[in-house]
Amino acid sequence: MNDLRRVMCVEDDPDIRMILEFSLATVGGYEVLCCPEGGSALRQVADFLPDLVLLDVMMPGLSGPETLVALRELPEMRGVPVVFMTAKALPEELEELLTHGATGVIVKPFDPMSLPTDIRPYWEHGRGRLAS
Amino acid sequence: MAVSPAEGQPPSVVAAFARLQAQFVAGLPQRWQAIEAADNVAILETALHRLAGASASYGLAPLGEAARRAEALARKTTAPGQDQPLRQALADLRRQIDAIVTVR
Repeated sequence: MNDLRRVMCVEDDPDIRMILEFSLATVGGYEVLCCPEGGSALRQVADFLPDLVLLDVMMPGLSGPETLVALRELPEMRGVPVVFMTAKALPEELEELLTHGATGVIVKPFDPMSLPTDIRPYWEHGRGRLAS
Repeated sequence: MAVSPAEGQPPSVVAAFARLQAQFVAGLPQRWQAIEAADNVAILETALHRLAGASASYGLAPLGEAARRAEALARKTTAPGQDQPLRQALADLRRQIDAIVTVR
């Protein structure tokens, strides 16, 4: 049975990439690939085969929503939940993000100690919904 | 001023977090320079947004809140140099950064 092992993060801020890697790999024990922008994520998905993707919303070049649309066209991403990460927190902003087809939204700043646990429900619910 | 969300974790995790926190703090003067040098509202908002989104994850929640307040004010302004509440919020943010960097 598949477990949540590999997490891909797409985040343009290097400080947030570092704390994500610390949180998910050092604290959570996941195998982590952090990509600095959407194009890099698209190129590496087939090799990394993530179980879940954490996707920043505001990025130069391909935005988070644009990256999500492109990821969904890749066969390797079938059934893989994608969770947006954003510092925007107004309910209407979060609702709007979900209309792009993400499994959920995590609001920054996140707690690096609890993030490894916090992402599991998105993986558990998202993969079931996407696979059906 | 800076707390560690890694309190109670194994020593290796605490040590790793401390290194990351120190690195983030060392980069705060550069982040401030980018905020100060922003010559339009969009650039200012982005710089504040990024600081707000990262700070608490590094155990610097008050700094993140100060950045968020400034970001909210920046969103409403068309003339950042003349907006008194925004200037005050940025001055507060600068004081917080200076205090954090000085302690370290």
